[in-house]
Amino acid sequence: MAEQLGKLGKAPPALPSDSELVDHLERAVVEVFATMIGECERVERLDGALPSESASQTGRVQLALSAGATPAMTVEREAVVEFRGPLAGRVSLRAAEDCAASIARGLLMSAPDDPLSREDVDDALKECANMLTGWIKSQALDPLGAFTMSVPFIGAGRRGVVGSPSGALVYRTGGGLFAIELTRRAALAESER
Amino acid sequence: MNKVLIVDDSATMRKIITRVLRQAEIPVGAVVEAGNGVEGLERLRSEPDIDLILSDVNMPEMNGVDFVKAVRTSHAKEALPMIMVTTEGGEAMMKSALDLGANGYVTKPFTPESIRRALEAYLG
Repeated sequence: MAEQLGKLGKAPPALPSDSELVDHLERAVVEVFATMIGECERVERLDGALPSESASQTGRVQLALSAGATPAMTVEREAVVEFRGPLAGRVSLRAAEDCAASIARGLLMSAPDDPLSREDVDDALKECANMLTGWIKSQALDPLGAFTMSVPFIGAGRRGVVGSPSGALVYRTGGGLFAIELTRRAALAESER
Repeated sequence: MNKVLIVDDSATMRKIITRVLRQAEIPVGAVVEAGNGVEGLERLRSEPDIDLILSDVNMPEMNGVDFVKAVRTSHAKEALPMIMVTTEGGEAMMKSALDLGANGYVTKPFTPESIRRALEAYLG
């Protein structure tokens, strides 16, 4: 029996469930914001299906949050980092203009009246998404095998995103609401990793 | 005063590290910046008086691990300390950087204290 088990080898570790991934994401937000950005308050956790979104005539995306709990939030900025390995997916940080600027000011330790360019704000959001994904990678994914992360990039909503939503977390900070979404791609073949 | 080279593709992160170096009262004079490993090597060639390098790992063009490898072909570990600053605290990635000649690492998110601890052995 022992010999048979030896031949079979050790079973690979089980992949985390969607809910476990969102738990890790939540811990990542606490860690990253408490250490480098400033206080934020979680207002909603959405497991599984992400909030519906619609583009207004101005091109702004509205995220409809769960019934009555919080008003729909406007998304004007989005930073994304993708990860690949035994499990693949993306972490996306989405915020309205004012909230994105508030996050950037927190990260840059700049005063409310310091001028911020669009590039500064986008770069700060990308760095936040990078830190959040890096935290999830080192805490939850690396023990499962070899993972790589993309360089962070500015996203354009969920158009073209392939995969199933694991969940989203919505927070309030000085400048308003922001959402962090985790989307999981279908299992990748060895050659795609 | 020590001259430090910060290599990171994020301008935001370069600004933050510079501020944190000042906040943590680390004896740093000039800070020079580069956006990736290739630019980092150019900086080293043009400014040979750099005393310490803080480098990101996940960068376009030339990543931090390849950058360490390239720097160590011309600068010994004792002569030019390199500290990796990374979001990916994964053991394999860090082992690879340390094996290639990095002197230490700091994971993001970091505090002024964690930066000070990582650098204090190298900056007098």
